[in-house]
Amino acid sequence: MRPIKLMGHERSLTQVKYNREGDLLFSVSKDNAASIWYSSNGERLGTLEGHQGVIWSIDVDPETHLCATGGGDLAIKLWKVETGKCVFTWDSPSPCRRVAFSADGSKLLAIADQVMGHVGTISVYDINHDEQSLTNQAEKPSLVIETAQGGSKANVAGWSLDGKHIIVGHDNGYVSKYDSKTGEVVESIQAHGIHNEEKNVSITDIQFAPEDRSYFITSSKDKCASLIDFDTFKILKVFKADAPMNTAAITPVKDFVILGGGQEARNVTTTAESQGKFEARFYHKIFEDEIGRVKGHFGPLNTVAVHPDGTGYSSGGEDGFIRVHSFDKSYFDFLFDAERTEKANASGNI
Amino acid sequence: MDNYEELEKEIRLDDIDFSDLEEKFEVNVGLDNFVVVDGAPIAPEAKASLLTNFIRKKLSTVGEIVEGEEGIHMPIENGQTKGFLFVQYTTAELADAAVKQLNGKPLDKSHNLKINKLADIEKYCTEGNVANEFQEPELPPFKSHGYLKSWLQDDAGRDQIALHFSETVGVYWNKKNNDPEPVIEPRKAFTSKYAKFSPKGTFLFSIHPQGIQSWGGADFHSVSKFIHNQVRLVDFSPNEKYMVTLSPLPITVPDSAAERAHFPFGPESEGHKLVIWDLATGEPARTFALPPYLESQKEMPWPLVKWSFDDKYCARQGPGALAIYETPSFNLLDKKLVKIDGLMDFEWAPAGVHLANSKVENGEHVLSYWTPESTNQTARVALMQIPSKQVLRTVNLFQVSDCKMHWHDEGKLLCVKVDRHTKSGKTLFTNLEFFKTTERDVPVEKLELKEVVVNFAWEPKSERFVIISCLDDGTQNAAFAKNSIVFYAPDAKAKGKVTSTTYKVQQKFDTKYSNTIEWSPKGKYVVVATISRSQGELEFYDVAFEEEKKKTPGTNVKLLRTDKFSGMTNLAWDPSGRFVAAWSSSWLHTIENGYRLYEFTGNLLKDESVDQFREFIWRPRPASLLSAADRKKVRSKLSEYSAQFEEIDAMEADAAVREAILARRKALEEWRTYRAQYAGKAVKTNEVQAEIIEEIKEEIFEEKEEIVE
Amino acid sequence: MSSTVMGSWADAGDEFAAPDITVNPDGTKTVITYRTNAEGKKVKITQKIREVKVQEKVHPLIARRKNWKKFGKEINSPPGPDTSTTQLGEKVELKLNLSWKQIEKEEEENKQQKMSAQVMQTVRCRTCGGDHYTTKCPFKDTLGSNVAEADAAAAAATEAASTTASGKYVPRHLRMDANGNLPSKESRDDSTTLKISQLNTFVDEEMLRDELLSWFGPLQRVNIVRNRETGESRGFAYVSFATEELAQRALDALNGKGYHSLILHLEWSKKRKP
Repeated sequence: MRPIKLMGHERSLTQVKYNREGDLLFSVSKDNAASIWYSSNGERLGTLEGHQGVIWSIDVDPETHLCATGGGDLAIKLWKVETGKCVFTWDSPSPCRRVAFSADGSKLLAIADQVMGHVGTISVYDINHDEQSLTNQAEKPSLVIETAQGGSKANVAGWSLDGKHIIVGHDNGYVSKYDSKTGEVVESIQAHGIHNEEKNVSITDIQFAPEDRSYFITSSKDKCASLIDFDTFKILKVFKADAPMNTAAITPVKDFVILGGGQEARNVTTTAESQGKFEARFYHKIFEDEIGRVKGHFGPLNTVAVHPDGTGYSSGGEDGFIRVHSFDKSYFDFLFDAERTEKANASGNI
Repeated sequence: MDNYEELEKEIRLDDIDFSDLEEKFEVNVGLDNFVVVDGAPIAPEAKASLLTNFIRKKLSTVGEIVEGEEGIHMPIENGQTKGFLFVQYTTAELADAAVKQLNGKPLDKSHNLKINKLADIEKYCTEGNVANEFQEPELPPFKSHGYLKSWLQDDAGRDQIALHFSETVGVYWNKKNNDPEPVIEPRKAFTSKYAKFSPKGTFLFSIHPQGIQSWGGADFHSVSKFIHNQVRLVDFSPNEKYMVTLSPLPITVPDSAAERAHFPFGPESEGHKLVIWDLATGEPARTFALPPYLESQKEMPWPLVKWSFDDKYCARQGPGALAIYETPSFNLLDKKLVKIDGLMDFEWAPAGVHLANSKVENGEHVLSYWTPESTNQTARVALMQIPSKQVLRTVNLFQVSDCKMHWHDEGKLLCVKVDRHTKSGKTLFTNLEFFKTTERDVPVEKLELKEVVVNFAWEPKSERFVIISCLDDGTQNAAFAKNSIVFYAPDAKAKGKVTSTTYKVQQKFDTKYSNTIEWSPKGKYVVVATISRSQGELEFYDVAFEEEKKKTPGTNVKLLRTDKFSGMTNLAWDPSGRFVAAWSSSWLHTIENGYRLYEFTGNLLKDESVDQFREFIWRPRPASLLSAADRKKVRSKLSEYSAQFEEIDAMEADAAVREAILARRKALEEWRTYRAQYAGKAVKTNEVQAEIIEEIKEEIFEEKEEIVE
Repeated sequence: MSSTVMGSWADAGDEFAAPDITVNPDGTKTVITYRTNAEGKKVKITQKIREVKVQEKVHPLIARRKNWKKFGKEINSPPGPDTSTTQLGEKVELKLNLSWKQIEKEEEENKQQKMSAQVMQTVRCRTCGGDHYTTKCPFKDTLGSNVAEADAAAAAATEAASTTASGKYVPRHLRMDANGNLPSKESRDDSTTLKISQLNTFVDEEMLRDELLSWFGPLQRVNIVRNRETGESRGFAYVSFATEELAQRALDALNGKGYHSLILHLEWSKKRKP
């Protein structure tokens, strides 16, 4: 496959995200402009200008009407996708690490980092989608969840399908389920730091099952990714890598997961040999086996997003590039022995 | 201990039933030596002694008759002999012989002797000894042999093989590169000569001095016995209805009645050597004496009986005539031989022939034959339709040394390999005559070669063929590799004109020793081998290599692999066309005895040397029951079907892999169960009419890389 | 567009140099980029790109979004991808396989085996280095034993030089010399070239290469000077060695020694007259 290289960012990518139909790709990086791209040809629709520094996170509502960004400049911004205009800005008490729309787009959560004397918080904002009054948003969050006393800060978070719960990945490797009305912890599980002896167990990404959000995957600096069921809050699968993982995504159509990461920038010798050797890792979701890698980046992968149709994926790297891939036929043809037998049985005997 | 006298007192001898002992130890009173001769002339008393002497002389030809009056007693009544007499031979055996040999034989022009044993007359003519009412013979209870085709139900579709080594025959499942898995415990002294499967694989036969034994069912239990003393050669009709056996020993009906009761042949088979059996009943259907010209022949042509494709007719060749029999009566067709002067050889079409003007659904019965040149006649090859005996086509040939008829397996074509000699008669060359049996008037295409064709073989279900040829320059030095393997295919260009397909050389490989051609039963792949005392080599060819890709049929012969096997004596494809077995049989020599198993591509799977290895016998399969549509379905989903077999293979090969696969199966099952609870809850994607948009994409149409440092 | 990447990744240097884009008169574009390949060599990639219009069936929402006006940095950009931000990358492979790790390892091993196979030689003459036994050497008298020790050192150099040769055929005039320079026709570097004279006329290039000078290989160039009409050898040859050192060794070892009935004379080649 021949990827499209997107070189619109000047610094390391922090997050890439597809909209619901997958035609647009949203990207943010450590520079101060978010970009929106047409995923099919890599043409840039435009940039979202307004942040004063690092943008850590971006999300788009299901209708591709509004998108939100959260930055290190203590700003959470809401944009109208069609025009690229910023319609509202919330102040964040500390750098905003993650923004995420609920599945219906009516709510937005934003994680404020636990730095500068601030207790880490997750704020939930109710979003006004009315076209005429987009600039009129509630200033105050409808709910603020503070990191519990002695607890570990939230790094990443996302919504359940019905919007009643928020799943949070913590710095200590725990994953918690919060009630999005009361802000209380419903359930908690240690998802990382239990599969090996790694010291840094910080959770770096959380992405949901594309089909129905009934399970999700977390990636961690502990070189693992965990697949967890939303209802039972049990770890279903563990994917083990040989480097800290920054991101993990679940593919539709095929039962795979894609992991991205790599050695920290400072730990890597930048010899010619290692250049372009940073890889997206493909694992089989059910069998947990690593089944392939895609080379191309010159630095660790910070973020990976899968096209909602399962036809391709995009990765954003520490090297400042986004690579948009479309899978070849062989990707769709690949089946494990057990899967092939299953398929053969399904197609019936003569 | 009681002594005998005391014991005797206690037992009343009259109470004991001695009948069993009496029967057992019955004293032969000598009646067995007597025969009764009927049908003698009635003569005046005066001539009685003359007649007696004449008859004595006649009857003495089988053995000694007791001297004098004791020997022959001819009753006289009213001055006339009564037309019968009693004769006493010196032994019972001679009396038996007299019955056998002289009964029904003429004494003179007007008198036929009827000779019976006196004992028989006593037995059958005494009132009450023979029931007046017909008593239905008791049928033995039906004994099931189980499902005789059970091996075809193997889940993995494996084939069975019979391996014959030293005195042992075992039946195994072919497990590719693993050791074959025994189906039954290998049997020692299973056969005195060789083992053989019936053409569709239903029965396995063993040869014994007394006859032939068939085995079948999942456990290869005994099914039938075919008593044929000293039987040597065995053959079957294509549909397993009949078996043909030949013994060098003529059938002799046993003299004793008791033995005769268990003897399958009646007196009409006396002296016959060739037997056709009905396989279903196990009874002989017809026996034949060997034609005199074959009696003295050292090498017996075999089979002596050739069958039409559907077992409906069979034919034997005799001097200047062909005997065609109808089944199941085995009577001569129209009660007449088919006279063909100088008949050399004949072959049935192996399938029904769809003649141009015929509407018979399964095709007509056709046979081909050839006759050599004679003083005022050319050599001829002819096609004859049966049962009409109408000659469909004759081709006249001259300077013919030999002809070989190669029918295409579908009966559409007949290739006659005509070996001709040059005018000087010193060297040979070959013409190939192709009879297109399904076309109007059966056109014949001729392919004239400079070389002599050593071997010819049609590709199954295709019009391609392979020949091995060599230029006959009058020298016969086998050390030179001067054979060529030539692949032919019908010329695609000529396809528009139905009337003349020609055959074109696809590829030619020179300087070969090859002498054997074995096509895969499914076609496409062919093994061309060298089997000789000094050489042994297999070459695996694909004659349609990447044909789908190239779309240019007819030019894609590819040598896939070669392997040397110097001891090789035989080779055979499995019935499915997946494997090739080559073996070195201790029947021929003791070099490298054992077998090798190859994939159809020539990939060696197994190389097993077995002491005293004799034969590798694939169990044949009946024709597939899949319809054309089913076959198409399999082909289109081949990768999916093959997947499950690949998995089985992988599991067989390695225990660790097996564990992994089983674990994956479990994981997959668990995951499906887990996901099943969410079925139907998935987010609905709104189905909307798609719109067409235009979009600009970049496309690299030229790219080059160069190293600049 | 600027493409400076901050932090340690900037160390990777000119890898990220902006592509050189030329718009051709026919509307196509030529894009020249550089990268470093696995052997550490700089590779120049020249791509010719044309824009094609593709029709696709899509969701109406997508169709609507396709018509949105560009904004931000792209506000004035024409439709279609801009080469400064969007490029087609090199092809990458995703070979899904359960045992992809083993396969990769095997490939690695194969590569190494190939390399070592190149160096390996089954039989090697200690005198001349040919593939025959020492006792059978055709010029053991010529070379004698004094070469042997000198060779020990030279052997290392020879092998090092021979390993750099990759499997692909490169025409001789394009092959790099030991210094990694491509010899050019105009200014041939004759510093490693010896002139060998007093050669018997039947001695050809092959004999020089394989017999006489094989121990001093690899040879850049062996050229016997011949009569232009008859093709007959004029009895002298120019031989370019991989290094000056090797040439010196050959000079020391062979000068004044007999070879095919004649006493060899070796000297440093003079720069040829233009």
